[in-house]
Amino acid sequence: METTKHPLDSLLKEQLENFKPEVPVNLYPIIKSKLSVPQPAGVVSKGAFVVKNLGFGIKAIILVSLTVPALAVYYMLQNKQEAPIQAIVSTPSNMGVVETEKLPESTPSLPPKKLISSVEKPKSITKCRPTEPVQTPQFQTESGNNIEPILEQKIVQPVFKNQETADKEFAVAEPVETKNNWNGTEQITENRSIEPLVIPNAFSPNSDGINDEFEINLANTLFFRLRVYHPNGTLLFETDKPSNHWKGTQQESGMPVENGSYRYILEYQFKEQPKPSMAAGYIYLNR
Amino acid sequence: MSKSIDEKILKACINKDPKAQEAFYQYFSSAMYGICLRYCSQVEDAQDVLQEGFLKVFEKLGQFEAKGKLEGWLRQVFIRTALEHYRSNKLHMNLTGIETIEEIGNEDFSMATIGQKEILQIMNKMALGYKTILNLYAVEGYSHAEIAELLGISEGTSKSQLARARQQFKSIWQSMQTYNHGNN
Repeated sequence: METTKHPLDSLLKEQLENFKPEVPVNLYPIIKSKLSVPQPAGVVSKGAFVVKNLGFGIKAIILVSLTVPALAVYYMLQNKQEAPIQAIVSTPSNMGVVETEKLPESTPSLPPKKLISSVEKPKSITKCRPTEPVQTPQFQTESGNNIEPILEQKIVQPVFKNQETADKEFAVAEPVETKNNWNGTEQITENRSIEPLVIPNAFSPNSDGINDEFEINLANTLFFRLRVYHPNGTLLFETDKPSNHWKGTQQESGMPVENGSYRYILEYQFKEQPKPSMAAGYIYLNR
Repeated sequence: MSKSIDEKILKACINKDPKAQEAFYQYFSSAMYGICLRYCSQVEDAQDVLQEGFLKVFEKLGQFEAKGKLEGWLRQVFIRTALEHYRSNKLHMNLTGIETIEEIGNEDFSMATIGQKEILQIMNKMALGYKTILNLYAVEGYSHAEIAELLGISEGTSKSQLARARQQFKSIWQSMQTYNHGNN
């Protein structure tokens, strides 16, 4: 069977053996970039070797020059016994004291300031979070009494946070509580910033008229895009209109999907926002 | 085009001279790209294999001793690179051994005047496993034993798959013909 060549084989050999298509021009630069850089000729490498040796010598000299004084100091200290060591140890603690002294100084000065700065502070918060601009007006319109305690903590906290080396003494002395509170207030402010962005985490598309659709009600958006994905990665639903709600079906076929958690990705941009924001999470579908 | 590449360029390539490497690439890239396209199912894969193959060649050119033809060695490198490229995807796993071979009539292709372009079209429509075996056996002239070793299959599987590959080639060719006639 193999002795006589199949006509198809000879046809293919004839036509394809010298198949030389045009190669895309952009391929060689990629190959070139991946090729290792050639080593310079042997003479140069000898020179490099000498230089390396020199480098090694210099390193050795530096090492020795560093270690010798260090050892000398060490022995000197040992000879003088404990007194100098105490002196050395005392310096960091002095520094710590200086810091702790600074902080109480700054914190008492804040309460008088806060009244003046209460209007300014939200601005500094908005810098941290791009989602805030919507929020700032609300923040300012609210009565100052409610906000003041939060602001106070906010003012205290950055001071505390900047002191990276803040000692335990200081931490025990005052800000343990404020630290916890501050975390709490951050959550609160974050909730406030998302207030217009209420994303439910579950819905039940069983046509009972209650919570049948995955609704994200956003007003005043420049840009809106919601995508819902199947766990296997396929896109189930996509819309660019906030009024278009997901009903728990596959968008193309209209087939209802099974109960379960579905990942969604929401991109949106309010008119006040310079950049679009993104939110992602899971929506639980239970009929 | 001269029969073989200049010895000087070859030596410079072994010394990894960038200019010589580029000349070497320009000399062989077209033929090697042809191999890559024949053994790959997609153009992107073929381009990846071409890059990978040339990197291998430039790295191992020093090991090539002028025992055989340089081009033959290059062909082998690129074919193996292409096969390795797909081995990771396990696309050759569909090569199961079926020993019943129905030979298709020899006369079908004896009269045929199929051009290179048409053949390539047909080959691209074939299953990758069939395409590979047809390439290896018919174009490269490998024996079944060699193919079996290359693809990690048995010799019998290689034979039966070759027969099936020819059948698929024929059926695709026929369907293309009827399609063309229908259009005309």
